[in-house]
Amino acid sequence: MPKVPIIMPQLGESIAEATVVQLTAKVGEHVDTDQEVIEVETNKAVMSVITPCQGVIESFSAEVNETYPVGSTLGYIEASEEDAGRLAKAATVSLDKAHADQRAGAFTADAPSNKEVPVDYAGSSFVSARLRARIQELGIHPTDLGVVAGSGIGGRVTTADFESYLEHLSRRPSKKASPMRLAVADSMRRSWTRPLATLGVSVSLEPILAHRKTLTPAPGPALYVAKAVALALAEFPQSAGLLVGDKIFLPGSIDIGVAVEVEDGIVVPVFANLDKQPLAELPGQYKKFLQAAREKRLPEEAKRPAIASVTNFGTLGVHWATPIPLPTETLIVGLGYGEIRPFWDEESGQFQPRLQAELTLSFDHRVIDGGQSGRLVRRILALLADPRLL
Amino acid sequence: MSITYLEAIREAQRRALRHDPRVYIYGQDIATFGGAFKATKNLAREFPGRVIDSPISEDAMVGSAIGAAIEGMRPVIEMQFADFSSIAINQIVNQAATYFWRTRVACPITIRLPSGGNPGSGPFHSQNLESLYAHFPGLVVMTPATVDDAYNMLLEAIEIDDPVIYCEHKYLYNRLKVESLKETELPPHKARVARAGRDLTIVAYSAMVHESLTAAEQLQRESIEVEIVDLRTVKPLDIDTVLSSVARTSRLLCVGESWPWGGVNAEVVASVATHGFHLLDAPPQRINSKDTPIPFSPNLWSVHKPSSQVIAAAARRLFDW
Amino acid sequence: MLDTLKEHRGDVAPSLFSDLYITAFKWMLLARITEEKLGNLWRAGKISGGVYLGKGQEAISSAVGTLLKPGDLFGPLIRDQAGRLAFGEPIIDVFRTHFGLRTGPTLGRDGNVHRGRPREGQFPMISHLGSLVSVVAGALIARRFRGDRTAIGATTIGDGGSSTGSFHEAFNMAAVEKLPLVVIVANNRYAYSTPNSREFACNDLVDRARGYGVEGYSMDGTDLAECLEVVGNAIDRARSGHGPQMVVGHCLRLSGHAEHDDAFYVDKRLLESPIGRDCLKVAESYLCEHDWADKTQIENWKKAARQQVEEAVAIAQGEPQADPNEEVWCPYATESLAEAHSIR
Repeated sequence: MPKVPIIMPQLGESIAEATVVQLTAKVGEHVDTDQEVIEVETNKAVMSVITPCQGVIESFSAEVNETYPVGSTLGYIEASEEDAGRLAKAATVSLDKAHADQRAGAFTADAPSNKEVPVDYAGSSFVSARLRARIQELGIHPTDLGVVAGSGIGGRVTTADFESYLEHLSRRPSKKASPMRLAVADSMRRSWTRPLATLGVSVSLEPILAHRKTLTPAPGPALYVAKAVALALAEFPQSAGLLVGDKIFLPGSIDIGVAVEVEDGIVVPVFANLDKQPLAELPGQYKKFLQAAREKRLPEEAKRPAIASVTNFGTLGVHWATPIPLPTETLIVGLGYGEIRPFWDEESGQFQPRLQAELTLSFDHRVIDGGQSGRLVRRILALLADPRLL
Repeated sequence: MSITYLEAIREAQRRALRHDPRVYIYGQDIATFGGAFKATKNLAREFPGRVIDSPISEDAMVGSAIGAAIEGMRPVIEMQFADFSSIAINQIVNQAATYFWRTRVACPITIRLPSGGNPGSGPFHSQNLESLYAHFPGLVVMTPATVDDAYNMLLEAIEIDDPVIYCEHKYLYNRLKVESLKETELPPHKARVARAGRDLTIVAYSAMVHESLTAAEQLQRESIEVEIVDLRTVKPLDIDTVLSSVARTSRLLCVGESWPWGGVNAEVVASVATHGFHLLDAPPQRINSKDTPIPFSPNLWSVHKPSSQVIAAAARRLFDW
Repeated sequence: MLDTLKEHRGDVAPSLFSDLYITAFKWMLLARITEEKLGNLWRAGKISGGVYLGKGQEAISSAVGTLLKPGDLFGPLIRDQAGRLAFGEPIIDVFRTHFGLRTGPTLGRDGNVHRGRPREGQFPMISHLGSLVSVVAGALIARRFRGDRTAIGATTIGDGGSSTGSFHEAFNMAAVEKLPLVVIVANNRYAYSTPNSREFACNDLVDRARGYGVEGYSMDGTDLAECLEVVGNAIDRARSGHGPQMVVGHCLRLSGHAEHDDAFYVDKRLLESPIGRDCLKVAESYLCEHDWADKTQIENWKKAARQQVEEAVAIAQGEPQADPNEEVWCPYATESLAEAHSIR
């Protein structure tokens, strides 16, 4: 015959257990439904545990003077199939799914990695408030974290990753970066947020060298290039446009910078309205700028933002480079090292020696495409081929 | 000789009655019967005339306590259930809480609120009203989680010159036991680090401290070390201890048994977001009971309030950031 | 406390009824003139919020305040200017509170009739009517614990206020505890705009006394002599251990609910009936009839009262308003909690 348990009931609010005082029925005794069979005592009162159905007391596991928690089994009744079945069916709601749903749905937010996220949310660009505060404390820019390996979700740099990186660095010797170095670093970082492309052409320096003999003081090749760039941009101002949002802002005036090397960095004094300035006047002005730049006292008008600049790394013996325009500039023209190279002369049907250098043009590809930049460069070359036009 | 949470409350009252002639206890069924939960068992006999039965008149219970307090007594009011205190809400929040502000005369009453649910207690015998009373200026709201705190903080509540709402948790009454009581140096309005950890801070109070400890044990097996801050008193709130903990762990999960809209959890989250944003690696989160009245059916009730599994699941999600 | 009361009440224990009557009458007069001033100040835009006056109830209120002894407790309500002054409230408290001054008993944090001096046994009310009765009852419990068996507590309530659950619970509980509490129910026929017929269903509010298991008395609220006699008796009964006393005084509210209320709804027939009499005029006649004072003396008393009021107003108007920059925005009395008060 099936057995039905006798359970310690919930005997009152906040009662957790009760002590058996006496067993008021015997094993083997026939009992009715709702018959008192065990007397128990709580800290409030003495009460009786009653039978859930009729039958015969099969056994008692409870002992007198022992304490049992609410819900525990105190004994068994042998009952009919019908009664046993009925009692077993009651209170069999499965709570598993409800509990699982509760765990899933409790008042917490889902992290972005669980959903589709905008591209700047996931991955290494997510910087928590704590990490942001820490890098700010150290004077570091969030974009500098790109060099740190991230072990967080989606490759994020966690606070721990960063602290570990700092810890490794601290084992190496260091010295303070100069303000110039920091300024250049900031400038280059900002500039690099744009897609930059570079093209290169060969230019003959002979027309320039011939022409400069006619001027005193003689302008250096960089100034010829700068004037050529100025005139070309005056003709094609959209090539020096600035893209902000959905607008291209055209240059107000053709202001061209010429890079100058100074201690621990570069300074780019700006020639305002260069398209209108005579080439002969440029060397004097350049010399003043050079002196001032080295003495760190460039005049205000030379510090205005340029629309483009020129850099002569040829003086360093470099043939070819991909210079980076400053953040305000749409493009930069670099002049490489001039040397004698063979040049195929169609007329004479032979290779002729010619003084030649590489000219590279790095530009903001959002504003200028290959075709436009090509046109610009050919114009510059045409001007450099006949310096009387400058 | 062990002592339960409930017995600690009784012993604290016994001590107060014995040592301070200004103390008396007023409530329903507390004299001969010793209280619905036996919190005042035998005290009426031991201190004749100091443990008094009141009619079912929560408004007058609190109003008379206010009057007695102004005249120099230190009354302790036992509400039979926290749920019934709302009948006296006018006296509590409009008269007692504002008394000192309006008159510069203090109103040192203590109101004991048996709070929280047991299986089957239903919507009107299970409420946690600390969030409600904490909202009103002028009240002190205590939520002891341990047997020691149940004892020490009730004595402090009586000593404090302001009206104290003392939320004792019914689920802990007979289930929480210690071998012997310990005194504490911690002032009642300071929070306590119940468990030290380094990965996540759980801020909890009252019975939820124990649910959180259970969750923490599970999480430890998954190599997540949880720090648990037991608020002890929710008003005034010891946000400094919370912030120090979040500074160590960078993650915050608040667990409370009261309802979600506003309240203790919301206050902790808002305070940490305001004053400790730079300490966080993930948004602060909270777990409350569901936004419905408390259900009677034990099945429904078991899902209505936060459990250790829910706490652990939410804790794990904090590492998804 | 005794000194404060003596200073403001002059004579402490009048032995002859005439002395008692005159003392009580003078408080009525001062109350009336104070309240006229309050009404004027309000209409001149000098007072923010509501101004609540007790015109028509001065006899009832003055009787209570005058008959209470030093050491008794008093919980006055909205229309108890006479009783407050009689019990010892300094007149300057009235103006300081209404003007919202830092120097007032509420420091500008509460206004108009929500004022008191708890340490001197005069308890401030809150707007929830009925909630003061249990406070006075509780204060009497405290006195009992301290072995004081002679003090009584008195409080007033209106016909409207007596409908509240708060009133019911308090009265019932005071009766169970057999406290020496005297509750004066001033039935001035209107609770704001609500007439008695919409306020209660029993024949007379004094019928409730039986329901509470306490003694109940009625009196003509327009007649100071009757008020003194009935209230005096009730106070004696309470003091001699007969438990709570309910005294219902019948009168008519002669002002609006507040000064912003023109009381158009008041039944004009009531004004013309006996309870519509002005208790102040009734008392003046009574004094003259009994040769306890003549018109000249009464006129001199009025002048003195006016001067007292003007002086108090002048002083108050020269004092500083509550200043938000100086305000300590903390509601706690306990020092350690005031430091921990952290809502930033």
